[in-house]
Amino acid sequence: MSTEVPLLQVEDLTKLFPIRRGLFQRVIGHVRAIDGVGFDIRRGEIFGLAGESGSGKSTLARIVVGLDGASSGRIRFVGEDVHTLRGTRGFRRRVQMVFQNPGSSLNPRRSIEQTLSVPLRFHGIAPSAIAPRVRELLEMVELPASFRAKYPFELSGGQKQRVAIARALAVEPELLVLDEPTSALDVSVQAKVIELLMRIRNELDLSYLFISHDLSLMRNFTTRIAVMYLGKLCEMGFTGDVFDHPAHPYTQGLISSVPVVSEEEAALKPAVERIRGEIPSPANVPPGCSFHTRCPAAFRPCRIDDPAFVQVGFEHRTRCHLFPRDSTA
Amino acid sequence: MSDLALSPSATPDESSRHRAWRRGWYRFRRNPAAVAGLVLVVLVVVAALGAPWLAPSPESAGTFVNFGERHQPPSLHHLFGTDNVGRDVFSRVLYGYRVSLLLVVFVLGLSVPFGVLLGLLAGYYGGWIETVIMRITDIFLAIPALVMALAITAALSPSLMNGMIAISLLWWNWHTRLIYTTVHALRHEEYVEAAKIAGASDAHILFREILPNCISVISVKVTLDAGFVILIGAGLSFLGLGAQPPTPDLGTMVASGANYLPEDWWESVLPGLAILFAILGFNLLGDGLRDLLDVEVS
Repeated sequence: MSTEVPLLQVEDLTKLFPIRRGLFQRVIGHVRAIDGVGFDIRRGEIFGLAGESGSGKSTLARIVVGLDGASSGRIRFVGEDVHTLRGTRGFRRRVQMVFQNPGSSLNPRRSIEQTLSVPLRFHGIAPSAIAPRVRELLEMVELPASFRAKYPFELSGGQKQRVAIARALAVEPELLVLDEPTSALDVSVQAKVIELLMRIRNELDLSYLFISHDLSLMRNFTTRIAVMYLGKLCEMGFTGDVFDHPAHPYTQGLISSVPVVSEEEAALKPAVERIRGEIPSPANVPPGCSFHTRCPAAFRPCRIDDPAFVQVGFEHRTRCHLFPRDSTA
Repeated sequence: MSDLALSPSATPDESSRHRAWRRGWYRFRRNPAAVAGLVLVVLVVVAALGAPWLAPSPESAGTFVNFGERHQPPSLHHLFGTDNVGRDVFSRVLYGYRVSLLLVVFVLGLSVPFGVLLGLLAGYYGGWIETVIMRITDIFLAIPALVMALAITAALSPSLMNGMIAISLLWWNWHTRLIYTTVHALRHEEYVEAAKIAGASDAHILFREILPNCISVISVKVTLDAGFVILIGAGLSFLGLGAQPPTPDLGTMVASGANYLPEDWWESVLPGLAILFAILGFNLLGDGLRDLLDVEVS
């Protein structure tokens, strides 16, 4: 363990959404979108967060950037509680986000220059310095300066996403939250955007929280990875460890469902059954281990007790009854 | 890129906004009803603005009398005939459009910004702000506009000014409702949230990010409204509660001409048709814009 204070610390975070019914909108229950999630992101790291839709990963992203509040738990940024930082320009400036759908994250009525100048204007950049900075940002995301005057409808999906990345970079953040930044794009464009993100990270010494449902995408460039299922982390570790020795049946299933092109690759994949069925509704989480309804390895205790998040290797944790107690290697 | 530069229609320095407008205009031209509406509206506006020069007898707009020529049927000399004191009805109709458009500009100029502002606030902030604004709006919506305008103008003294104030008091709520619904859908758009993360102020988000996306809805609604405001204004003055004689108001002309029906039909029917003309124009244009801009205006 390094002694350096992590860039971002998420501690026992929970987010409940009330379910309301009837004439007076009485609260009749809660959706546990996020349930006791904790992880760190270290400076310079690319932290991957994987999970199916409905697992709570986008909700987590919204809480990290301050769009939503948490129900309980804490987020620290460089050791300081984000609650006290929130709303202050300083925090806003240090954590930025790129949304999934570049089509809707750019205002159709505003030119690219107008869109890019918003973060600059609101972070005290002198008006005379805005135009050169916009040009610099476009260059950084490999778009011609003439794009300043264009409107979103004139841009392709990949170009729009580059503009969205430029907007996030405008105020020189330290952490970039990327919520499925490539899943709305064509595969060929995806690779280019990922390439761009990697280049920018190296140049600007950024850290990323990279959220995706696509494990294969994360394998190549994330430092560590966490897998989320129904609001809980079920496995977390260095990317290589998780891919080589996935502990949780869910992670094993996800990795084995990644399509492969060669027989050698197929031989490397763990021989496990595919995950059956659909993710249950977060409003109605199964008792015990929330994954037991779909788990090929489920046995008695899985239906009764929720397993603990135990250590199964160096900085490798999982939440499964197959690993009853800390068995640190 | 090179074929773009060779094409004569797309000059490289033509702004993209300009091109979007040209595309819109092309689609608009293909809708005959909308074009008819535009023509009618342009005619009405030209008649109103140009009345002093276009009217064959500008003095007919005022207290002028010419008993020698009263109740003359339409002729080349008096296109729409003359009224009971011998004033030229055609000239009075042209001046009447001035009053109608003054009414539209005053009422919508006052009530639309107010209604839109309330709708923006209610839709964006939600919570108790939404509850207070929207319940007040609902109360005003529950009262039929014409009935309320009658009550207000009757309580105050009947005049064009009081009529305009009464209609303005009743008009903002439609815009509040419409913008509230629009903003409610827009406030969770990712570009709004992206602006928040970028550190933008609420004022910036409301007026620079959200409002520009409401402009098409507002412009369609305002165009449709113009016809209704003319109708209500004419209704008020027909009942004697709006513009007072000798102001050349179309509603007042229909009312005073009605005394000489059916023999001297032109004194009421032709100003009535003039009202119809204007309302039809604004409605067709509004419908055309709605199709063009693809917006929902309930």
